Amino acid sequence: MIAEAIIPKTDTPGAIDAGVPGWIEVIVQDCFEPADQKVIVEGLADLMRRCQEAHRKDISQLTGPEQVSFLTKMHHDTLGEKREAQKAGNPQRKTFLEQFKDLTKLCYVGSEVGATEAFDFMLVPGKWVASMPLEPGQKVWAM
Amino acid sequence: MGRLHAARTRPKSLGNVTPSPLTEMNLNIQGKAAHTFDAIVVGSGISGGWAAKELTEKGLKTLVLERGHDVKHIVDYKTTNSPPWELQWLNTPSREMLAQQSKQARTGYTVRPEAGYLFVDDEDHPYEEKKRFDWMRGYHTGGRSLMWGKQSYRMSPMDFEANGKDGIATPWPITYDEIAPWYDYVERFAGISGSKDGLEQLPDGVFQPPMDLTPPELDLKAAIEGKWKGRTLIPGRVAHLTAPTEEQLALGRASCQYRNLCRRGCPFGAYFSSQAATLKAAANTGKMTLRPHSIVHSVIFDDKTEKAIGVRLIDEVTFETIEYYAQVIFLNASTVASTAILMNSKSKRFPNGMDESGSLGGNLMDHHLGVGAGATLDTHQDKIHFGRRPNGFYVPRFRNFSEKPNGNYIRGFGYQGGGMRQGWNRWIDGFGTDFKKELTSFGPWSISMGGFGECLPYDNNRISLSKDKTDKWGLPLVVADAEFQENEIKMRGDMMNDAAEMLEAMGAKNIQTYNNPPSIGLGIHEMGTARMGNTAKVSVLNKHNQVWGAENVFCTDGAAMTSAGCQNPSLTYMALTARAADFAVSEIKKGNL
Repeated sequence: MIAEAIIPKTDTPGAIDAGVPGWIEVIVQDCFEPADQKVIVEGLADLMRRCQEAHRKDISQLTGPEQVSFLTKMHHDTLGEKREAQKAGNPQRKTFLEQFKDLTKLCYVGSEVGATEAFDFMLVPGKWVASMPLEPGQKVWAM
Repeated sequence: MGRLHAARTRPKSLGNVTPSPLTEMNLNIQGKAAHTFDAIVVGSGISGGWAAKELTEKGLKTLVLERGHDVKHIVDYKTTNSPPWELQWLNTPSREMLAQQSKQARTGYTVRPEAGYLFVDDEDHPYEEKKRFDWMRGYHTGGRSLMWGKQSYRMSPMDFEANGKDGIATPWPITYDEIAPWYDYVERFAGISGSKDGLEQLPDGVFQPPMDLTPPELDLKAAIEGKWKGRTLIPGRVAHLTAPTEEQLALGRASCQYRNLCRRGCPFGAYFSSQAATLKAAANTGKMTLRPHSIVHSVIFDDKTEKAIGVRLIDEVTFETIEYYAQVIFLNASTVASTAILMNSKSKRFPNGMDESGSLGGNLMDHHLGVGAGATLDTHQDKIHFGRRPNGFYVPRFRNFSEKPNGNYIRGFGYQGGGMRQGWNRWIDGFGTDFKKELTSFGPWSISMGGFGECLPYDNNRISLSKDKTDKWGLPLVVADAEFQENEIKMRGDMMNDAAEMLEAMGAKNIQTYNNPPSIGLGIHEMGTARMGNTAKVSVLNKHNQVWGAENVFCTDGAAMTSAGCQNPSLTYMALTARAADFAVSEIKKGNL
C-alpha cells in the first residue's frame, strides 16, 4: 500500500501491479543488514502510528492527495529527527522513508511490468548515439 | 609411490596433500610423455591468453593451466541475456553473498547476482592483510579478462624513462621504441576503439573508430582546451570492436551492441577477453591443451641442468599433486599469484625462491583513485543519448608534463569520466503521481571525472608468503603489507581540485568534489613485485621478461612492471607478453633455452 502511494497507478501500472511489494519483502529478508531490517519493520509501525495520530485512519483509507501530503510530512519530520540525532552525536542510518522509497523505485524499475510499460526497456540497443533530440513522450531508459 | 614421483622429493610446504595411488599408477601408464609439452602457460587471463596464442601459433604444443573452473565462451555466460527481473533479488547482493565474498565486495559493484560468481569466494581463498589490501580477482578460464574495465592505453616514452630520470627504484630495461611495435601488434588483434590525438604522453595506436562524446563531454573538451594549453579530453580508448577486421570476424567476434552488460560476459565477443579472442585463436591451432582446476604450486628447477623443467600443481578438486614438464614456462597467473609461485619455487640454486635481488615481492603498485569531482548542467535539456556506451572520456596526464605541479610530488594522473543524461537513478523529491512523472522523465545532464594517479614503486610495499598459514590446498597464504605513501597522497589534492576547476570552466553547476582515502588494490591494477630490470642484482626479470638465472621461465603479467604510469595497464601486459613469446621461440630455435 505504501509502495502504491509512492508509485501509484496512472496511465501506466503502479507499484502493486508491478509486483513491487513482493520484491521488497524478498530483498529486505535476504539482502538487508539486520539494522536496516529493523529500520523497515519499525518504520512501518511508526508510519501506521503517525497516520492514526494525524488522520485517525489507516493509510489505505486516505485519498491519493492525502497520502502524498501525509508521506511528505512524515518524510520531512523523520529527516528532521535524524538530523537532530546526528547533531547529538548519534550516527543514523537512512530513514525508513528514504530506504523504502529507494526500494520501491528499484523494484519498480527492475520489474518486468515497470521496466517495459513505464520506462523504455532495451536489452540490446545495438548502437550508440551520443546526441539526439528529446522527443515529447520519450520515456526514460529502464537500464 | 610410482617411479615418476618417487624420483622427486615432495617439498615439505605441500603439507597434507596426498596423491591417490590410482592416479600415481595412471601417471606411470601414461608415462612422462603425456605430461610433457613444449610450453606451459600458467594462467588464462589477459596475459596468459596472449602467451597461449603466440606460443601455439608459433608451433609450440602448449599446456595452459587455469587454477579455477572452466568458463566457456558464450554458453557459460549464464546471466548475459537476463533482464533485471530474471536476476536474483533484482541484482541486489544478498547478505549471504556479501559474507562469502566479503573482500571482493569492497569495490561496491563486483558482488552482485549478475556476475558475482566470477569473483572469488573469500572463504575459500583467504589472504592476510598487514595493511588493507583489496585483492579483487576471479579464478576461472579467462581470469579478469572477463570482468576488466577494457580501458586500453599505451605507456609513453616519458613513462618508460621516469624511473631512470628520477633515480627512483630501478630503470626500465626497455624503451618505448622497443615495445611500440608490440603495442601495434596486440592492438590490431585485440581491437581497440579510440581516436588518434597525436599526444606525446599518450601515444596513438592502431585504432578502430572511437565512440562519440556526448554534448556535455564536447563542451568540457572545448572548455579545457580553451583555458589550458596542453590539456585535452578524448574518447576513452577501449578494447571493444567498432569496426571488426576480417581476422576478428573469423574468430566469431562482432561489433559492440552497446548493452554495457560486459561483466556478465559478451555473447557477441565484442570486447577483448581471452575466451573471445586469444584462447580461441590458440585453440584453433590444435596445439593447446587447457587444464582447469590446476593450482600451480611452483616451478620445478633442475639444479643439474640449471633450467626449469616444469611445474608442480595441485588439482583443485582432487587435491592430487601433479607435475607437468616443458622447455619453456610462462607465468601469467596475475601480479600477486605469479610472484607467490616464484617465491614457492625453491631449489639449491634458489633457496629462497626464484630471485637473488631481494626485490621479489617488493614494489607492489596500484593506481590510486576515489578522487575527483562531479556536477550537473542546465544546458542541452533538449538532447538525450541512445544506447549504453561501455566507455566514457579520458583526460590524459598534464601535471609534471605540460604543467608544473601545485604540490610537491612527482609523476601525475589522468582522469576517466562521463557526461550522461540522468534517468530514474537520481534522488527525486516527493511521492505519488508527481514523483512518478519525474521518475519516468529525464533529469538534467550530469558530468563527472575521477582521477587515476601513478603510484611509485617502493621497496617496502611488499607481499610475502605466510610462514604458518596455508589455504585448503596447502599453499602458504599471501601476506600484503603495502600502502600509498607521501607522493600519492600529495598528488590527490591536485587530482580533486583540477577536476573541479575544469568542470567550473565549462560552466557546470552543483560541483561536488570527493577524495576518499585509498587503499592498495581497489584500482584492480596491482603491479610490480617481480620487476624487470637491467641486472640480476636489482630485478627478478630481465629485459625479455626472463627470470634471471632461470632463463626458460618468463613472467609477463603485471608482476613485471618496473613502474606504473597512470594509464590502465592491461594493454602493456599484452604487448610485453607477445614480445616475450616471440623472443622465447626465437631462442628455442637458436638452441638457447
